[in-house]
Amino acid sequence: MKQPIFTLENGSVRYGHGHPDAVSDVTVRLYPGEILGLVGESGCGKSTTARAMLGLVPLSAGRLTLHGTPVNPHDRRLRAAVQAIFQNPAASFNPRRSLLDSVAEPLRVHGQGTARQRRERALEELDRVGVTAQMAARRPNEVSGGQCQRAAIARATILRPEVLVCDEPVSALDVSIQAQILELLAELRTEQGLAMLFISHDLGVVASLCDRTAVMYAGRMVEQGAATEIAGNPRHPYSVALQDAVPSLDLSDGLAPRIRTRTGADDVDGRLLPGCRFAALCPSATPECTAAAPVLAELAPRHEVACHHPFDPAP
Amino acid sequence: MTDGTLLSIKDLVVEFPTGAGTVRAVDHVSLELGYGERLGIVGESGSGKSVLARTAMGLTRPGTARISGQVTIAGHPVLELGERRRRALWGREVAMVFQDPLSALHPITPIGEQIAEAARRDPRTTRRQAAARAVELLETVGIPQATRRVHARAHELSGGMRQRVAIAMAIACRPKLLFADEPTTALDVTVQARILDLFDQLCAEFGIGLVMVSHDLGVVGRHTDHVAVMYAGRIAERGPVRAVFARPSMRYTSALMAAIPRHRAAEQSLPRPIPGQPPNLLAPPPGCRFGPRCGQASPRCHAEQPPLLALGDAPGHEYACWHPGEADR
Amino acid sequence: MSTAILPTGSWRRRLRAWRLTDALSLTWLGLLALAALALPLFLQLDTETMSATERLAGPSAQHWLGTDNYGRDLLARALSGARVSLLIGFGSVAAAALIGVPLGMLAGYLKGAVDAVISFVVDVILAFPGLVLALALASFLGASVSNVMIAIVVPMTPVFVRLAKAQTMSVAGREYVEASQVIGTRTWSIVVRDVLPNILPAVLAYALVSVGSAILIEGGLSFLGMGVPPEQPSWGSMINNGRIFISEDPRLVAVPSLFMLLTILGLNLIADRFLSPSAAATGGVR
Repeated sequence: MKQPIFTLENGSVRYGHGHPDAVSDVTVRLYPGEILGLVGESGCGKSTTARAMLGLVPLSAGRLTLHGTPVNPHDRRLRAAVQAIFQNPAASFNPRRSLLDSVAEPLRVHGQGTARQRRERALEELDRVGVTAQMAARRPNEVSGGQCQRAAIARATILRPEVLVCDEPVSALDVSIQAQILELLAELRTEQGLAMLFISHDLGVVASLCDRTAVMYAGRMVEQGAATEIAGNPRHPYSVALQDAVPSLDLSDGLAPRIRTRTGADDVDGRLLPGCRFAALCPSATPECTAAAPVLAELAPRHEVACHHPFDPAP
Repeated sequence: MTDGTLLSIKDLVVEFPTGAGTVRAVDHVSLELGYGERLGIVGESGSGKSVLARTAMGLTRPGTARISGQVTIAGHPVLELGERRRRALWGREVAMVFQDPLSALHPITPIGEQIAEAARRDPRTTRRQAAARAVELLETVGIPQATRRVHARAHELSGGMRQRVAIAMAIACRPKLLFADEPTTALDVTVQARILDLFDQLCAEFGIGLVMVSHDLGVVGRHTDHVAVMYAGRIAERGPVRAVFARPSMRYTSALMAAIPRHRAAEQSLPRPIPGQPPNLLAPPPGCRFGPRCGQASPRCHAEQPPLLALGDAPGHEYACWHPGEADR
Repeated sequence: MSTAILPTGSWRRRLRAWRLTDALSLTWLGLLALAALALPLFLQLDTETMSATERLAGPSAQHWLGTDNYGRDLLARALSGARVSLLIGFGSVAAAALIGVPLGMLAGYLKGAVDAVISFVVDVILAFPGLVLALALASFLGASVSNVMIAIVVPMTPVFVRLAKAQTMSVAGREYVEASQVIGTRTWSIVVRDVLPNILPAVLAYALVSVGSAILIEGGLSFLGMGVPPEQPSWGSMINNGRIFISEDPRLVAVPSLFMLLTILGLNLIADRFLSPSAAATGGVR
């Protein structure tokens, strides 16, 4: 079994006292050359997980490890090894600096090369992701979202990191451009052997790009497995409901919803429930579910589900 | 007054003068929609889909744009009407649901009052009737405990609930036509599914005609009868949804479908990107607007703008392409 | 994507209208600065010569704006007053901003204990009535230009602290600041490179408006006899002096008032330019 490069072990994050955990006891393991997709709806804690792994929010419990040894979020090793791409392409660049300046910045911060060498390297890196020198001279609000996100990828990879954390990197882009960026990320994984955490609310994007998929609901990880396995055979009722809800281009009638969530419980905050956080909406919830929270357990090889009554496709 | 068509758009052109030149956001678009029918307008950002819907409803101000062409809603010539008569149409003949329900709702007025106020756009409705109607409407749009919820304020509701309230306001005076501009884009997919079901239910129950503007082909697929795909201000392809989805003929449509990632595919494959970027509308390419990004483009495509041609098999299925066919997926 | 579709017709017209007032404001302020600062290098402004025969004389070739009750040239005194007003206006605002903005940025970026201490001091100073403070300073330290400036800087600094803090907090939450944190940029570098340039337009706009208020405060203090010493002409002391003659010859009050009005209006109009949406997009004046 391969060693993970970067992990979050049993991590919890709480924003302020008196609030429920935004993320509870979540473990994320990133392996070289592998993309882990983290899906869920708004407020499920997927972005908070990413921010915790980047050291942008403190962990209230759990720890980060890099190459098997614990690191604290302010460790310089982490800053060189783990880089990030954010959702809003233009907003992730200082509006007053050219893209080129911003892409060269990591080299300056880590004291590499002369100003001239840094510029050359930045232009090289930008060229590799498909941004011309002419575009690179512009400011972020003067180029398209796709160009900006390419530049963001160049900035994230210029230090040759081992880990890339992508927080909704294609959500702000049109589909035709989104596919371009996905292709670029897939190339990066293959060429540089990067380990990636890919956060998205879009099941289709995760299913087409990632090697493994993890599904989060109300601050907990509810299912994890190979991306094709999660796409083809989801077992947690929430994963099934999520997949059912995505409108498909296939209009054949075979795609009727497999699970009907309970109505009238839309406003229930799952985090406050003592047992399974999906229990209020789950059609197969039993007293057992409201009493004890299920833990992630292997249902099939490399397929973990946290559910007392996993969905069975062929009952 | 009525002649069978609910919405008729004829040769509509909308241009915005900017500092750098004129942007033609909508370029000679014609569309028709019958009573009780549902139309999806799909396109990426800058395709003109939103401008088209807003102009058709009479929301684009003549001061900011040059508009030519004709728009008729239930027999009313929208573009020729004065400000007052146009306003009189809103709510009673046609209404709109926006992407962000929070900006459409007043932050401190209770939602019941806001819905009642919308119901009072019909002068025959009394204050008492309007208040009762507010409760009834909240039930219609699927908000539980309506008698209690009328006192709630917008910020106390979830995103999906807010959009339901916005829909209740839109249908308060039983309009014949409803425009929905990216109504579920700000919502989570599970919530989106329920809002889309609500639109289905309202159209079926009250015979409301629906124009749904969306960037998401999938959303339009299961919840409209007809679809119009827009690219750079023009209609690239249109027709019955099933026909267009089964046999996308304009190259942009097929490329767009191939660019959408599949979430339930048996085998993993990356979506196929469309090279390049949407055209700069200040200097659009000659001929077919999609030409520079199209793998099949011939010299003719770069010289001559393809007209909308009828495809034999399904009535109403039209495409604007010199070299139609499904992209090799 | 690259084609932003904006309803730009009226927007552009508004921009053009702004440019006219901008030009007028800049011209006035430029001429005033030139006359007040450069002219004395070439010719002595005669602000003091009294003349019994020319008391309250109307405009003439010799005295373009006429003379005051002592027969002193009004234009020369108004221009000399401009020197005092501009010095006090720009000087005290510069001092207040230089002290206040760094403190505000520290409070806004570091938060926690640093913020608590700075904010407490700010609240204490702000709770102190500004005019009383100025009057107290003037009466204890005596009337002089530097004391007037101190009296203005003390209550003005906390406002800059607050402005800079609020702006910094909003900028610090943006993705590009997080992006800088992730690449390992040190805090001071983030503050200088990412935060400062992006809060500057708002700070500059407010500073320009503050120059106007500083000039007004100076005028008020001088009018009360607590500001610039009487032997030094300033707009405030000129108004104070002309007050007695307002019914006979309103010119004595009108001339310095008009100078003050045009100057402050000009400053405010230019400040608006920094806050207009086009300026926000391009980063202030291009």
